[in-house]
Amino acid sequence: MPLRDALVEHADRFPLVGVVRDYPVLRRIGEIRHRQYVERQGKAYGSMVLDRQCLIEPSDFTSVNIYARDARGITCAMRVGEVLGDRNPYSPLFEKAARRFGLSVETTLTCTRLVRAPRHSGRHAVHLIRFVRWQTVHAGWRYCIMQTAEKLVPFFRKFGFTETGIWADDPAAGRLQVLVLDTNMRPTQEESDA
Amino acid sequence: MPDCDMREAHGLLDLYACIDDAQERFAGLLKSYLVDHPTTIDQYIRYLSFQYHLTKDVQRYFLAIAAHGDLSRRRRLREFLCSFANEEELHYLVAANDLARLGLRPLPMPFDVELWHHYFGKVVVDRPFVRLGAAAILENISDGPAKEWVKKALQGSFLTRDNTKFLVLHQHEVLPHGNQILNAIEEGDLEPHHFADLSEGARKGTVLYLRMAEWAIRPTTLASICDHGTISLDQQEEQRIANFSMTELGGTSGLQQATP
Repeated sequence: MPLRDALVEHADRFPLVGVVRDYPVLRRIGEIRHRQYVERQGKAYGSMVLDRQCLIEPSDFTSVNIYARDARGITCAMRVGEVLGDRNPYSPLFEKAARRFGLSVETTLTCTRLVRAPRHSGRHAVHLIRFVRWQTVHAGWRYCIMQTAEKLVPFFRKFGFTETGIWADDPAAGRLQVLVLDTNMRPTQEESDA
Repeated sequence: MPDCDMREAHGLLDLYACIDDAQERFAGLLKSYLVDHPTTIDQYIRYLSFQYHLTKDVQRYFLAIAAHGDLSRRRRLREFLCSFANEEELHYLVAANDLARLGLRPLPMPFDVELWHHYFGKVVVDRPFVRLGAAAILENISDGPAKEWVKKALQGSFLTRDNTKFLVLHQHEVLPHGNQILNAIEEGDLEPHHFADLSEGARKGTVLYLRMAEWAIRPTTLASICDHGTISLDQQEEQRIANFSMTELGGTSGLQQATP
């Protein structure tokens, strides 16, 4: 099932999680990204929209963006894409990692651009990761690949991600490690790791 | 040339002058941005969004024009308008489906589109040729001096076959509605007050359309202060947009037969 059909809101199980369907919401996420990546971390990511304070990229329109919210608005957000056919600049690296570890690229998705609103702790990222796993495993997706800075590796390990030893020297972000999650087609971590 | 023919010729010339003026102004607006920048995807999203709201239920206007008593003895024009209504009716879904291919729904209706519907929705009942004059603008404004700038505007790495169906459909060569509407007017045996209404509608249509275009090109333009929130679509409409296929538009044979 295509990701856009798989990643639909599930108000009962994941009441905090929304799926981006409207440009004003994507724009708000783009503003959070810009603040986090460009202003605070000094990464020279390029945007494709008129608004200079907003980081929106080509793969935002071929992937699915999801977000968590509270009464004050968006708390954190993440982009979910396919290894194959995505316009994500990291796709060649992800595809290489998938092939090296024998993952079926047709059932492997990618998670990128995880951000949090400056006012928020970021704890809602947990909801996003659990939502993606629940929805996509039920839709036939098995693996997830992402890359992250070394300091965040322990955080993702808690969700079952494993280190691949494959590193990328991102010109904007610096040294990033590629991580892989094999869900074993189990939609929750509790069931798979218990 | 008899007086009535002279008056008709004068009325037509005035309408053509309105169209020329609209094309010049549209070219100027596009040039003012495109001379230094390429089109961006947020501009394209705004363009498709205003077109969605502008063209939704457009058949009501053309059927209202056709229903007016002044067309009781102008049945070829009436027939043309009915075919035109059928052909245009589903175009809003094309715009919405192009947006859906980008993973998005249309933006809420811009204020200038609201003004359009409030104004033309009322005037069409008693003065249908005012709305027909606005249609003559919509169907011709991208031609003439605006053509090269429209082509330039339609170049962007984010444009694909799947998300440009509305644009392709409205290229003059694909669907020559601009010529068809003018031919229908020319052959309509209209009276001077009809031409006066056509020109009035053409001018007012130009004002509102150029404001919509500016809203798309410059997201911080004055009208943007009315932008608010996200659109509310019922599930049935969401399904209609997601499942839309170009085959639903059918052929153009009906219009071609009805066009004088």
